[in-house]
Amino acid sequence: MHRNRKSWVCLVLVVLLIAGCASGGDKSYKGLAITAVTLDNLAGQMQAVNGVFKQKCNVEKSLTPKQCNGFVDFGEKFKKLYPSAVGLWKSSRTVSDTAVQGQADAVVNSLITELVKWGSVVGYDVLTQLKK
Amino acid sequence: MAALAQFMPLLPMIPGLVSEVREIISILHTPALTEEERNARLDALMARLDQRVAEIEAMELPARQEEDPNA
Repeated sequence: MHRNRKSWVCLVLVVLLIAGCASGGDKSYKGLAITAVTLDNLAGQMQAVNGVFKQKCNVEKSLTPKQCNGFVDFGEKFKKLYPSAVGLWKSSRTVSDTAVQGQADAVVNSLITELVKWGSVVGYDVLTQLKK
Repeated sequence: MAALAQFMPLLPMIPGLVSEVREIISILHTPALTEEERNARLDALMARLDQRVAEIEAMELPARQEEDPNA
């Protein structure tokens, strides 16, 4: 179980590294495409983590109110920032501006980092339950 | 088994990331494309992102919990 959580975090880091390397140069198409794939997957991951939190907070009641409310705060932030990041991606495509694309990447990276943290919160609780 | 069942909702995330890594590697290894091909691929990605934005905007977060002030 612990190995699965570790491999998830490792995969996220690999994705960030690959995306960072590719968007650093003048390969605007590859940089744009990678940011888009990452944005696409980020939404899917958020939906999956949100589903776990909903189950654990509202059905099983196995997380503390502080953990649940912390995730809700993050979720509200995510709902505002995600469309902005997609908007930045569209702008950077339209004007071929690498600085704007860098802004989109920065938003994506901060959301991924925070999402990994919340994912591991859920993973930690699962491991705690396993030890009982 | 009950503990394993609780872990199950997390499992879909791992294949998602594996497919993302595969997709990124395939982008990096794609031979030079014509401008038309690049635009077509970016248009397809943009359509996917528009769909994702709609899904995220419609996503229902967990209900807020009342925190115990004495905790």
